Formats: sequence, C-alpha cells, structure tokens
Amino acid sequence: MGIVARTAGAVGLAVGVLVSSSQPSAAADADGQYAVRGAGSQPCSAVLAIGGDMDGSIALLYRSWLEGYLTGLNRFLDDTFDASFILRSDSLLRLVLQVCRASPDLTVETALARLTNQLMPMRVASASPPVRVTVGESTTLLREETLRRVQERLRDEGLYEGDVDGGFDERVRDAVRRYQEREGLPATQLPDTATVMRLLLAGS
Amino acid sequence: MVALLLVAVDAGAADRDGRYATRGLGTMSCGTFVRAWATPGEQRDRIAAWVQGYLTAHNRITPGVFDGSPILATEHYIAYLVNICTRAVVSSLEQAAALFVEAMRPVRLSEPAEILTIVTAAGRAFVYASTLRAVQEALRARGALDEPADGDFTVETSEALRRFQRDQGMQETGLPDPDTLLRLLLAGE
Repeated sequence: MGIVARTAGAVGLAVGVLVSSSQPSAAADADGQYAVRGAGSQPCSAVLAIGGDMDGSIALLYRSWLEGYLTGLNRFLDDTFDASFILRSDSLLRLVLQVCRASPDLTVETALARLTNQLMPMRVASASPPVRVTVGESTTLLREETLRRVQERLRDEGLYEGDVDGGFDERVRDAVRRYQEREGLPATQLPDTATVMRLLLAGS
Repeated sequence: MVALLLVAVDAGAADRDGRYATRGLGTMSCGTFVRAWATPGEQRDRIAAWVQGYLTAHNRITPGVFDGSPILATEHYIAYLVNICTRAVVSSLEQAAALFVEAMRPVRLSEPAEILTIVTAAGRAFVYASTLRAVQEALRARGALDEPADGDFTVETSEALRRFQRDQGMQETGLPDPDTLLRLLLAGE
C-alpha cells in the first residue's frame, strides 16, 4: 500500500518562527492540497541549520513535530500500527536532514513525506512491542516484528539458520555481522537503520 | 467555550484491531498535558509542535481533506484539546487530538482557501475565506444577515456577528473568532 501522493500547501510563517501562538499556523498556495501546520512548513535550510546536535531546543521542537506527524500517520493509515520501523525521533530527524541535504529546496514536511514513503514497505502492520538490542556499548531500538523480518531475510541470504522468533542472540548477531561485511556496511553487528533498510528493501 | 459534540472516537484506521503506535508527547496523560500547557516554557512549544505535526499527517492521509480544522491559531486549537481533556473520557493528549479532529469533521476544509486576517477595534482573528463564507451563510439562514455570503468581511458581517454573540451571551467582538464560528457552524449538528 502507499500513501496517496498529494501536494503539500506552502505555509506563511516567517523563517525561524516554529511555534507561534497567535499567528495562523497553516496556509496553502494555489496548488496546495493539504495544509501543513507548524514546523513542517519550514524550508529544509531551517533544519540543516541544526547541524549535528539532536538535543538542542530547536532540534527537540522538530523532533516533537515529527513524533506528532508519525502518530497521525499511524492513527489514520489503514493496516498500519507503526509507519516507521525507526523508533527514535533523533534517528528520524537525522534521516530528514539527509533528505534535506540532497534536496535543499524541499520543505521539512515534503522531506519527511519522502522519507515515510520510503519506509512504508518496512512498516509494522500489527501491534508489536519495542525491543532494545545491545552489542557491546552500542544499542538500537526496533520492534519485535522488524527483528523477525530481519531474521527471515538473513535466512533467505543463507547467513542464518536459527529460529525466526523476533529475538536477538549470538547467531543473529553473527549473521548481521557477516551481512554487513558482505554489503560493505559499517560493522556495528547491530540491526541498525542502514542494515535493516538494506536487508528489507532488497527482499521486497 | 463551545460545547463540542463529543462522540466515541472511531476516527482512526490503524491496524486491523484498531491499534496504533503513539509517539512522543502524544502519550502524555490529560492531566500532565493540561498542566504543561498552562506553564510557560519549552515544553509548551513542544506540545504545540506535536499537535501541528499530528494534524498535518491527518491532512495528508485523509482523502478529500485540505485541512481537518478551520481553527488556525495554535493557541485556540490547543485550548479545545484542554477543554476535551477536562470534559471527556479520554486519557491522553493523542486521544484528545483524535476526538477534536472527529468533532471538526462537519466544518473541515475540502479545498485550499485563502487565510484572511480580520482586524476590528475588538481585536484580530484568522479565518479561511471559505469558512467565512459558511459563517455568512449561517448568519443569513438565521435572518441575521442580508448581504451575500461572498467571503468578504464587511461591516454588515461584523454587525451580524456582534448581534449573534449578544444573543448567545458571548463576548461581543464582531469577529469570526473560533468560539463564534464553531457555535454558528456546529449549531445544527
């Protein structure tokens, strides 16, 4: 399933003004088909200015906007428990920044719309609990259902022979490591965002 | 504040069992949300950002909808969520937001419209031109306005609003402020 392609309305807030209590928070140009409110109407240049600090007050505002947006997708989309397998909002904001770097003329909302469209094949259709996976000092957060699909794909690739149970043990870790080596991905041994995307998109 | 018709929420699609993942501040309990909104600071801005993101996703996903709410100023929008949280059987900010979107269904926008800034001696209001037209139609239906419902804010429109507000015991601003337009447009609902 896909998200219907619709055109986002441009919005009339001054650049740099993210939240305004008394000004209107939405506007649209003549071609606009849905109203974008608040931070999403900002140009990509505004989020690019955040740089690398995902915990500053501006970044936290964008992260909250992203979380509201994701929740709205989850609530209003059919057959969707969670439209994004990426659970942490700092990771999502980093990906929005990547899209914005590649296409600086977008707004934050259109960049996020592109990103969520890319993530849709990997969405979690039914309720599934979050699982924290740790290797050494590093950790990642994903849903059990996503981990199950990772195991399935690793098995398809001939790298894993264990159970497809949504768990993470040494055998899964070794399979992830071998897959990362084979694909030239950073050797984290974790089912991190890049690894999950490569695995699941290659299999869909 | 206008008494919104609050029905059980079935606005969502979510998964087959109606479950969906709520992220970030959407999981705040009503009590925490109401207290945080009453306290100046960054948390208040983050609540506003969450609510704006949520409505934007709704607008993107819902076919035939340009904007799920005619209420433009975020402060007013969230005042309704606070109201819902204190009156209805909801437990979280997300549930209040979903209930409000559902309550706004009769007055939501299907087409893009210009945002008008309306200034009178009593203050300032922001309203979509198509919403203003609907307000004028409602005033005409009440026999309170003879002018055409053309989306132009005239002295006659302002006077008709003032009379409506007086009849309703509301503050007489002569402006199509959120409470006034919702009371007019949801009156028959």
